[in-house]
Amino acid sequence: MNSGFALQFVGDCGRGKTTRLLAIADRFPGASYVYLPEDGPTPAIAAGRPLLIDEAQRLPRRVRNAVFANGAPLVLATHRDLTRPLRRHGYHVQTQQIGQGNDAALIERLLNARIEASRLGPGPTPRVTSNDAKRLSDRFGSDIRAVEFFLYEQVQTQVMTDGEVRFID
Amino acid sequence: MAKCDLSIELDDAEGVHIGGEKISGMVRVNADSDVNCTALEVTSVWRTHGRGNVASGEAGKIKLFEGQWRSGEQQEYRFELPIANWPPTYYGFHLNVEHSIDARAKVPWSFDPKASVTFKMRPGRGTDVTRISDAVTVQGPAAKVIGLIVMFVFTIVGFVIVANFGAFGYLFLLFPVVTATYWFIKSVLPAWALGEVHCRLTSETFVPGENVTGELIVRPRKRVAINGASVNLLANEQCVSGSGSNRTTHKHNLFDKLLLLSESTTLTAGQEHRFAISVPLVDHAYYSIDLKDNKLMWHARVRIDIPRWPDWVKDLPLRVVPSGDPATWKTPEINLPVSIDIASADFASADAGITFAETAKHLWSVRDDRGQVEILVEAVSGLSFNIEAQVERRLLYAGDEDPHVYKDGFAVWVRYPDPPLPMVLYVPHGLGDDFEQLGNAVWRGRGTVVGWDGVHGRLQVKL
Repeated sequence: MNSGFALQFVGDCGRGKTTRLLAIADRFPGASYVYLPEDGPTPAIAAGRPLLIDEAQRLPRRVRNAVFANGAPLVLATHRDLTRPLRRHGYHVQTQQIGQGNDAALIERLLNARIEASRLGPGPTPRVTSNDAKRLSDRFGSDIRAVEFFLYEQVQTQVMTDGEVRFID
Repeated sequence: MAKCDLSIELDDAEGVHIGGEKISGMVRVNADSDVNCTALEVTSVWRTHGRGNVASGEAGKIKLFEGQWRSGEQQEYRFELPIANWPPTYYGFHLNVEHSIDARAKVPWSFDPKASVTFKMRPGRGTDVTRISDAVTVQGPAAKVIGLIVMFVFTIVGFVIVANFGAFGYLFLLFPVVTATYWFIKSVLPAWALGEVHCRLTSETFVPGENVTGELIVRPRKRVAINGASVNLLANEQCVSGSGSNRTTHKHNLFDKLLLLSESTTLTAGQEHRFAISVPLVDHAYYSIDLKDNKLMWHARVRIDIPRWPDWVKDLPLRVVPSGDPATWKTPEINLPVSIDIASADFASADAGITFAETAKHLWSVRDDRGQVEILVEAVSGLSFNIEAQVERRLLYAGDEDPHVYKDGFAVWVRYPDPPLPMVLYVPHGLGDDFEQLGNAVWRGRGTVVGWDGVHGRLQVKL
């Protein structure tokens, strides 16, 4: 990634901003990832190429100016469009709205991939059907995190009543 | 990347060197490609680091080489340079003074490879005590004169504004009124109660181990009871960072010794009461230092406690200078704060055999036990080591609550080679170029352990 280039993922919670950041961090050995917590002081921000900042809308103005002045390639996950401050520091900005493509088909694909990744051994595994995914999509919209939380709660509540769901200690 | 590496070896790296004498050693050059060097220069310098603006001086400089180094070539150049006879090596709270030998190879159209090694210096026979005494300024009446002028200006401006624009001018008069009231309470009222008070030290300069002596003489106009009279011998570091409106003064009290001159008593009217002042200076008392924005100042604060009345207080400035007596030169003593236990002080780390490699090894073995890490870090905090570390990343922002970051300085994440202990280095502004040149190469230098970054699991080291 070139200096002076900024890519920002803008979207609500649970749409996949952090997932994208972590995937990018995994691809670039020189990348530096930092998550800005809601409470508490701003953590140290290490230089990186690219520098990935999660929850970038929480950057205090002073820190934001110091970081943007560096000119290093940036990938931001933010709830608020930061195009203006980025451009003020000479960045060429590309913005991606996250969440619009989180339809029933994607939910079905993600959930089945997760179930497959959790496989303990050979044999058939339960699958999320298109109908299940459609119902989840209708209920939670594009919020993938809410879908996963909901399914997690379902597993927790059914563990003692459903013969197919058992935790093995 | 640099095309050659420089390193410096002193003939006596661990010893304490005497100011004004010579220091010798060798500069080693390892060229990893052909290098055209316009000058290989070695300088003997001192510089301050800490909270104050950096002050530095050069004692000597020589050019060791000019010409071509071939790829793979290793060359050694011997040098002998004078050591500055002032200021002495000092490691304090806000202020540190270090002497070093710096080597720099000037390479056209490339970063200049550099190397630096510090050594310990104490003043010796060559030290001109008289000159030092003059250099260490004692705050005189200048501040009072400036204060009076400022008050006078405010008063005039205030009256002019009141006369022409009305009540707004009273704001200007507020400053001289408050100042005059403060002066009246602190100076006039105690003097009025006590009458004639004379207080002086026998000399303005003292040497370590000597007694700070003087006399307090009180001749009251009327009978007056006092709760007591005392003298505090104080040493303070005073460092100034920034300039203009961004100027900040950092103070730290290093030494405070109380001597009671008199218990509760009643002073008879018209009679002269004499109180002898005699406070011993410890043998290893640090010298007074005045390096522009970096000062270590001594003074004796004499106080007469008057019941239900403002105390009479007077500060008597003094200077602690190297002894002119050759007998005292036998004891090599680094200017270390007496408030620091010598056993745990800077150079003691080397004397006690504690190396950074051992420290890193122990920290690495307990790195998952936060409690153990904190105990160990507390034990080595304040110790200085020669450190070698692989540079990882420079921090664009070091965190809101990190008090170790130098003003205008920066922080760098590094990793000790073996075990791979993560560390954060706090780098003063002046070393910025050196780290810029280093990239992700190995850094070698001296740093002081200052704590543990629990969030990122890194040992905090201040350069």
